[in-house]
Amino acid sequence: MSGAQNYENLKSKYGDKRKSQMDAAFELILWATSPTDMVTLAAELKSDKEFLFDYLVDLTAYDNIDGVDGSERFVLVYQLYSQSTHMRVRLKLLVGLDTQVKSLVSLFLGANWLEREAFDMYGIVFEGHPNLRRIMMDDRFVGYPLRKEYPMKQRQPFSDNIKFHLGQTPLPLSNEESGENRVNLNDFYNPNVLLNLGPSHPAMHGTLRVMCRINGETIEDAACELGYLHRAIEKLGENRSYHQWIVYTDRLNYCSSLANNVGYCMAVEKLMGLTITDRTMVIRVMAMELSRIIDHLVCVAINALDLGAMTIFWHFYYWREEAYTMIESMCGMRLTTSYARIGGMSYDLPENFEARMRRFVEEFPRTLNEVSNLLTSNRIWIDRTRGVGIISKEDAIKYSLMGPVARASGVDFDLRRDRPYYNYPNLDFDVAVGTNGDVYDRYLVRMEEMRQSVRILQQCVAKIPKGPIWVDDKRVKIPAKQDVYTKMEDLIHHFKIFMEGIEIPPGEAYSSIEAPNGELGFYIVARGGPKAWRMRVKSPSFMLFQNFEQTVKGGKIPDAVATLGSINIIAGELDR
Amino acid sequence: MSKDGSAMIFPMLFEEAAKWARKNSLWPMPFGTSCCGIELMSTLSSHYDVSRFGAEVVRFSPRQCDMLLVAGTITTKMAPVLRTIYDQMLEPKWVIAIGACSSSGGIFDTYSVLQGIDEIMPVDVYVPGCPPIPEGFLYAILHLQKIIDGKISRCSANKPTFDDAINAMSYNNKLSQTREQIIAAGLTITPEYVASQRAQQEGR
Repeated sequence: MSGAQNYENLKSKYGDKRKSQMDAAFELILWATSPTDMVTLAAELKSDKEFLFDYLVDLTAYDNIDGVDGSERFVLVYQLYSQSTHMRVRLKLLVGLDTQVKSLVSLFLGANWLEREAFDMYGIVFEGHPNLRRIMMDDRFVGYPLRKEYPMKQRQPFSDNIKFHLGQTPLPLSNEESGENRVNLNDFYNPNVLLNLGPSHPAMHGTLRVMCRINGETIEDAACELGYLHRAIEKLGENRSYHQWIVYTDRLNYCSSLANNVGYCMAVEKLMGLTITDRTMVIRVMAMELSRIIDHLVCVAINALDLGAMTIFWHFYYWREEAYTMIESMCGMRLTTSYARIGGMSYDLPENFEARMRRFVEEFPRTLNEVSNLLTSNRIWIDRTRGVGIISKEDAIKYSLMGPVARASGVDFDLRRDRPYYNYPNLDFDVAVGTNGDVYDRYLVRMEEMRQSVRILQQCVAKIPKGPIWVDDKRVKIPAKQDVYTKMEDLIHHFKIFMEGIEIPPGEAYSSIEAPNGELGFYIVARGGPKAWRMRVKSPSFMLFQNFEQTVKGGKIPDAVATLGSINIIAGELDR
Repeated sequence: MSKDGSAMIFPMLFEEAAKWARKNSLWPMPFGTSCCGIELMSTLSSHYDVSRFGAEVVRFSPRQCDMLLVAGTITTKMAPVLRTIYDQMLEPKWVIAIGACSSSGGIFDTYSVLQGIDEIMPVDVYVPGCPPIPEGFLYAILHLQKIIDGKISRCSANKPTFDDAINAMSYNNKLSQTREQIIAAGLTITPEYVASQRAQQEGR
């Protein structure tokens, strides 16, 4: 990569006054000296003509209670990405228990919810944040769950649902709370009727909740509430061994588990400096593209179902079942696959896989065309989707949106092409980019991406390299089952891997893949031993849902349903 | 009608007819929160086609349904919502807990996940699996039909009442620590303690 020179330039430009270091994946880390310095640094990097770090990819923190990184209690971590040079830089700041950190919302709108999450999980206070309150946990929750001292199993249940906030102030819901502001439903012309959607609502995917202030049928203001599926996957990452945590990645985005497995294993391999074999590479690429197809199938099918087109659902679910059968033959599970392993795959491809995959790539595009004929020029579909839920290109960048939604808005950005991994550089595919950023464009982009995935699958299945699927590394290689039963060393080795886990040296790495929904990143801080010190999941849905409040404003209620279906929020990875 | 009681045949017949009608037209209220919800959709869709067993009229209004399908992880934040939905359903009603999470919390034994929905409502059928395959879910419906028929007695492992559910969802009965103790516990661990733990581990 020609990036090495770029990183040197970046380091000499910003790193002379500040501490800088390289991580396990050779990415630059800059340590800001103070909260004010952090704002200056981020603003400089954002407006830098040469590098133009305009995307705030992630903002998180980790506990520094053992004092490895400095004397303060927490380390705040910002990931920036540059669209023009495709570089990443990580900014870090040491934060004490009482430090007031400056909010970055004025620079990056996407920082809003991320800062709220850091506040919720670690209790870091951001000065100047417009609405700093808990995001995942209940407002009445005591303590900060991701701090090391919070016990993993300490539950704090509440017997009633959370009260809702719209913007900064609590909603006036009942007479007792605020007498004069009470919404009077008898007043026909009252423009302040509140409408609660979710969490149990057919269009809200089971767990999302949106409170709308409506005037007639127009949504004037909307506020999202999340955390109804917060399962503490990140806390589990610190309490399970690296190997055990693979099963939790399945449950992040359960529509495309295969891609999550691969993304996570890639991050750990980066941390360990492993290079996987050619055969595994191709298998993983096929797994990722297959999961992209099934994810988009669900998204388009459900979006159409929400708008009343049920035929699409039946058509697409037939092919989803076919894909599931194939996945089942690969790894034994339909949905929660756990296919990838650190340094290899759990199983090699089954014998009849190639024939099955050939049939899939030949016959599936026919259904795709059929559905395309049903929807693309359908008057009703166009009326319901065109010009609805528009996200402009500027908004997409400001809110750090990625994946098909950003591409539909005209952001020409795809990690598979821009920061290639595995054998994507050798594969021939196009990146679908839309123009208007409405629901219709998102649908078109998703359909086109499925076609491109079929193309990639065709190229992959034509030449699957022969050879081993495991790297030849004693640290990670799981011994074959028959050897475990017959050989003493392999039995011991097997026991050590599964009972104690894989030892990973201290260090940190951020690795991301182009998941079906956008950039799915895993940020791992290792302090030695079989468990991670911090396991951060940068999920695409989180950013997409953050923008939802803005997108639906000014639209009608049915448009909100169409918009939500088209941005494909998966609650498992939204709430983690 | 007559004095020897032969008219009792009509109520009996009516009861049998009601059972037959109920078991063959179960209206599900899907409460799919996560992964199991996707498998539930597979079951409802073309390949597995749950309408073969008379349970395809999916209604999202709890007042129209008699079978609550809880598919997916239920967090402590979600538990009051689920209990409200259960209370809104009319008798007779049945509950199927689909998957490990809703049956027992599954692999998520953490600070935010309810350890099984039977803490807050009676459950008729548990479906194992993470997620269960659609066949497992269909088997659960067949099993529930037998329960409705009276061939299998209806015995939930746990029968929480409304008050039990409120207790399960509040601090008082469920937790070993009180709110104040949690606050205090937040301050007990110091960097020195972590360092000593680490030294112990390394020594071992």
